Amino acid sequence: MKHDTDLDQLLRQALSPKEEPDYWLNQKILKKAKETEEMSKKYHKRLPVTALIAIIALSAGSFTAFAAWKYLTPDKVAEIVEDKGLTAAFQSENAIAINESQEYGNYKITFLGVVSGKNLSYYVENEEVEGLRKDATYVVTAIENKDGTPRPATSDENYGEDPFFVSPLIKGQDPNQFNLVTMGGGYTEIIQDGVQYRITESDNVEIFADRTLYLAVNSGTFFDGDAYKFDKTSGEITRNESYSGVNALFDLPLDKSKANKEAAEAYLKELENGKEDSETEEREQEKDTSFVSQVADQIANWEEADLEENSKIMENLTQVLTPDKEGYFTYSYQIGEEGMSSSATLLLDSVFENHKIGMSKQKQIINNSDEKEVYIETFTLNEDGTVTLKVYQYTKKDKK
Amino acid sequence: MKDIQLEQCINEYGKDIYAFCSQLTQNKQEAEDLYQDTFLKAVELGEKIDYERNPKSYFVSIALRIWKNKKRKYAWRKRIAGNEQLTEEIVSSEILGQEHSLEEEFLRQELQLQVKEVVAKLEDKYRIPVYLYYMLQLPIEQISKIMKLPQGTIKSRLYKARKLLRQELEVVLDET
Repeated sequence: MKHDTDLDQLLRQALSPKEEPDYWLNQKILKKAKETEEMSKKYHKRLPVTALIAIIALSAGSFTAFAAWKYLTPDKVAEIVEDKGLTAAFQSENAIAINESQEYGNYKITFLGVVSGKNLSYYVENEEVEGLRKDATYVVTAIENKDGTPRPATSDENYGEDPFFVSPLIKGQDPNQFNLVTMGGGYTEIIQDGVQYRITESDNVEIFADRTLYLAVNSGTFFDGDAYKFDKTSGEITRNESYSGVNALFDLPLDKSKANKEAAEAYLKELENGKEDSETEEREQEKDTSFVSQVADQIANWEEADLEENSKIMENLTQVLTPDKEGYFTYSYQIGEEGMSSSATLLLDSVFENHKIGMSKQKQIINNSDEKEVYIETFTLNEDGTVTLKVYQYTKKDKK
Repeated sequence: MKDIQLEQCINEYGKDIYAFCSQLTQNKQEAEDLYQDTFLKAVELGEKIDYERNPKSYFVSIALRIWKNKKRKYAWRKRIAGNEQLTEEIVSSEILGQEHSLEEEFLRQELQLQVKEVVAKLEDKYRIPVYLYYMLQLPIEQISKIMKLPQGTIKSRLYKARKLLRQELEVVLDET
């Protein structure tokens, strides 16, 4: 196992950031950023995260009808965010125009339209990892204050202070588990004439068209389980009438002919199992590293008191280290005469964010060949600039 | 992100992000382009920087996304323009401020270059988590978010990366 610690140490040393950006390069960035700001892009774009939902679009939306609305049409919203692909999609026959509003508290939520399909968004092809999100559903909603006050502009300090979460939901699937986040969605948002327009993007949920689909808009940044009720027997999702915030629930219209039971099952299974290519090889490797991984997950947020309670400090290994003028500190120790040794050179900046005094959240796990035991190294930045290294022995507890 | 925030972020995270861009692209010009694009993209996205939630990994996510999109373009440019190696610059900057004997220093640098080269040859799916973990010292949880992969997958990729690196660096590791 000595090789492992040697390798870890070598990698940390060899890869520790040494290159620095040129001063003029940084100045150039600041200048360009200023120019960009002056050109004032007025839209706020959130990065799409991987996602998936379903929706569809049947009848050609009558776009002349939109003209009479007080809201921007979905294609206009897409145009403002400079997404040419999506603008065209919302003008196509596949788009469904909806104009349904619900009001809760001081908010009026309007579901404006939906479109689904492959490679619709300009951003999908240009910003997303190849192969991802080529088949998506886009929903456009408008949120406004009922008292007539404008929603805060994206550049305002108070923008985002009363956030909303917009998500398609699938009948029969627990919305706590299957919503925009778990289906990996994202959104783009603009404020126009005091109205907050949002294009919510997710995977294409047309495969679920033979079930009821909903569009939920709730208060908060994430799905709020208190805002809706899920009936496990019928699969129905309904509003929780006693919820105090916004909990709008619309029907999401889909083209039933696009339903695909097999694809839907496979998709749900994929979501349940996690999205990545869980190759057998990787699973086997995971088993090998599982104990260390478990410990890593477990101790990530542990403070000193947790460590003292759940592991044993190796007091003779505690060291006070003085960083060199470059900010590197080096240590090495051996556990027992024949035991495992550990040594490393670490950079203060990497271990202590903003040189915050106290124990760093960053810890290192040193694994022995023993599958049931690891050593946890912690680093504490002291007032005088020195670093205290402490080593704890952590032993796997057998389940009773 | 506003101008003041941008300057602050560049000061605080610029070095790490630049190092990440350098290793990712293995080319000075491309590293500078990617570094610049990363911060400008952050400005364009206009998100408020949340200092509670590790802004470094936010910038890394942007850099990685841009790089993946431009990889083909970069590959093409690489063939045309050749590769301006970063190594010379690194070596000279490392010599400063260290108090080892020249021979020790030389050997240390040689070793570090060798390690870097071996890492650079790994497939992206192993190379990127190695940079995020060892170079930027990000926790697995954040790497998982950046790469949009489950934590278990990141761990197994790091495990496999170490295995591959150990094979490549066997001789060196035996000497140390």
